Amino acid sequence: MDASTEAENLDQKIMDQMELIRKEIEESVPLLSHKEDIASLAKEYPPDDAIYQGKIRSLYSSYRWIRRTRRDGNCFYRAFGISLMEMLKQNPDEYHRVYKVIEESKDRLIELGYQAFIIEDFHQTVLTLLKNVRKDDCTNDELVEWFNDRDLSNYFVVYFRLLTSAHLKTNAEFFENFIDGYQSVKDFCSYEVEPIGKESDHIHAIALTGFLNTAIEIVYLNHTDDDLSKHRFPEHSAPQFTLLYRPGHYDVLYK
Amino acid sequence: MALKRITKELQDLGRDPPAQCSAGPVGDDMFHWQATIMGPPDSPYAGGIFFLNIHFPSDYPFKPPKISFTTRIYHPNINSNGSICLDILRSQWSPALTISKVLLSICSLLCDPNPDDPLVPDIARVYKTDRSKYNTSAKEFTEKYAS
Repeated sequence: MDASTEAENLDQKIMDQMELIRKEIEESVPLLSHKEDIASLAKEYPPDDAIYQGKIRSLYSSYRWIRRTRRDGNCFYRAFGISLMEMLKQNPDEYHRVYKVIEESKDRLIELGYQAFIIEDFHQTVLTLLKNVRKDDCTNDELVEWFNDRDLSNYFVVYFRLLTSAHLKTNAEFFENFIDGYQSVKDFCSYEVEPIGKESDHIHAIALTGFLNTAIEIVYLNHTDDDLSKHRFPEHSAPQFTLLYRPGHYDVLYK
Repeated sequence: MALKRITKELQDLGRDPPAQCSAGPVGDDMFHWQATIMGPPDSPYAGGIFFLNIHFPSDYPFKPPKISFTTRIYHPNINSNGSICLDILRSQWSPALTISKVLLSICSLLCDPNPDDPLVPDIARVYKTDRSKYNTSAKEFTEKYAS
């Protein structure tokens, strides 16, 4: 076997292994769970881990429920998506404003160089979801079911990744200062935002909330010896919904 | 959903074909295409016609298409099985990319090999240390296999 075939085989083996792990996760966890009692979080950490158990206890005082997302690299978008839809269902003014932003977003993406015939399917899927949200008989369970349909859910994720990218590219001069290791915002978007399954960070949250002009809060639960930290995007805003961040993962929190 | 998307891409290729490339289904199977790339004029592959196989996975466009050369080519990022080492065909694939964009990226790869991430280390070494030898070998392969 020559070196190149060996490298290719190793590459293939790594991809196969990744696929296997992905499938295992897929079979064990839904894309989005139903609401669970926040107390279920405590069981995920050793009972004698004072830092985690202490922080989780302080979560109890503000939040009652958690909605879990699958750890597939798209958790931020799915957590954001369900929370956004649930909020819009309760808030007609915001609904009309956000609907307009999404409706017009396709033209902004085309201006940025995305091909119309490619993005229209994703755009249409999100608009259809938004129209369903507005219906009187649309329940939260139906929304959860929608986000658990792999194809629909992934179409949503793709479109919201493009919106995140669009905001970064439109404000490239500002974001250039925050993209360590990349030569341009465009490169950052094609490596760290647009591929499905790429994990999201602070910068993605800033960009997506910036594009939609929504306000969110992210509660950080990690193993540092301080109080539970909370960040608002944008800063000093009144959050419309709350996500829970644990290193590498986002879920949804409810009061 | 995959079939709808693949059909759209085929229509787009008909309307707006990329320079130096063509692609379309082999027979009735929309998930199996063949593509051709003309060797870029400013490269040692000039004058060659290269054939590629394209397989779309059933969950396309969420997974990248599988593309390989069926014509032999001397290139640091393409091995003797025709496998291509190109980031957008692996982890950097995005559902907003298309076959047309991928073929254009492969054309760029022919003009500008990426010797720092080689699939064939021997060719990468020649490319980095003896460019005229690389050009000669690439031209020879093109004349022998792609003309």
